[in-house]
Amino acid sequence: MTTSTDDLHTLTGAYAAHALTHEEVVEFEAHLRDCASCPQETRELVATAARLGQAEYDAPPPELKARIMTEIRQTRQLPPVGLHAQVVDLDERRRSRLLLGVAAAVAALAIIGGGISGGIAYRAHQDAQRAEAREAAVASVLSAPDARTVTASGPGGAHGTAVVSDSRHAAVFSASSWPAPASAKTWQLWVIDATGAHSAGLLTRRGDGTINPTYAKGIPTAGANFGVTLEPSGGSKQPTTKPVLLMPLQS
Amino acid sequence: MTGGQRRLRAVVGSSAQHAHSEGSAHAAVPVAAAGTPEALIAHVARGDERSFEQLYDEVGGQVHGLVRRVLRDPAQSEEVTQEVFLEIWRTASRFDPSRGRAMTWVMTIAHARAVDRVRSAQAATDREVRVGQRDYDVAYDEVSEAVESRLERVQVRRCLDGLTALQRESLTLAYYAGYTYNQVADLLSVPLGTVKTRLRDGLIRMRDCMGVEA
Repeated sequence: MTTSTDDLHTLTGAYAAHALTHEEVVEFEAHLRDCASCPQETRELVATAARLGQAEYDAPPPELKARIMTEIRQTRQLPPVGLHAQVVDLDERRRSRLLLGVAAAVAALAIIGGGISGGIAYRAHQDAQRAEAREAAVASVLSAPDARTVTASGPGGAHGTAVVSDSRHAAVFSASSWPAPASAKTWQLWVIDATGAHSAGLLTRRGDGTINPTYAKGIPTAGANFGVTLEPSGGSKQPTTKPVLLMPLQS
Repeated sequence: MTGGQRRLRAVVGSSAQHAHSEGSAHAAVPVAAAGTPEALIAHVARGDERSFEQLYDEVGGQVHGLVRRVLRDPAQSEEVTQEVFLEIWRTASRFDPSRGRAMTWVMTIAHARAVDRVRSAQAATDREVRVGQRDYDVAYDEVSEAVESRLERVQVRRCLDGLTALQRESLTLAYYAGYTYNQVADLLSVPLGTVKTRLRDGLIRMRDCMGVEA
């Protein structure tokens, strides 16, 4: 759902209370960049909401601590974000705004502090380690000096966005307002060029219709396209249906 | 609250100690008094398990308390509390003290994870919203041994009482029950725009009442 700019101003409270859908969060965070007064108010309301939380208290069961301590010893920590490098790199407005939809999901560009964007990142991936690998892969594309965005329409007015880095031979696909696949079917992403179609994996669609950022490597530097087809669950080796989206990755 | 936390306040209150902050890898970290959540998280970011443990001791009850408040179910609350602390461990390097307090960061993660769990449970039941089934009244009297958070709770309650009924209901349903504002609008049978503005002006009034600074 697209919200007018006037409405976006008033979403600070709903945002702070985590009462927005994922798509609205992305939209709101994009708006924060252009809105002079919003970040301050948002920070204050996020802090206020946190105070409501701090007033709650319930001692956790004693065994939980041991479990958590064991688990952190097996869990790799994220490195600090190269936030400045990335933001400076992507300073051009149109591009950075388009990137934002992708970036919000991977916390590569934190807008209002680690908590919230980091939260979205985690929400998108339950498996921490896979998430980490994907986050690193996606971030490597987003932060590439030659990163650029390409967009195309998908089925039923869906918006597909790709961030492409020719120097890294890699691209990231994401989309919003994407329809759910028919039952026992799945959406599959392909890199299609003169040599044929190569699977770039199955797309994960969230309940709000957004497609998780999907990383594809080995992108040819000319004549490559992203294509999305409907395939039987588990995916196919080669496309079995006509692409519902076809996106040239090079002009 | 734990004795540890009381001690900590005493330290913070008495002098600007920053025993652990020299040689800080984080140039951006303002001088954080030893033992504050800010200082602990800076150490956690460098892989310090003892600081992590200390942080858990200091804030575990509040994290678990909030998660439990939203989810109710003890087993799920435990799982989510575990997720929250793992996320704190994994992402400690992303905490930026120039953008807000450490407790804001921690409680924001806790609330986000709890709400995620509510939403994924909703998705699992085909987005069936059990209108009216959920007891969303603020249960002020849940058992809590923690003096400090009880004081905090008294303040929250006092400030909630200062809201209009619609502000209070909107905020309670969104924050404590984990509903989206669309769902809140459905539950209260009011337009979407009304819920948006009530959440905003309700939180603004809470901010002023509790004297919150970003």
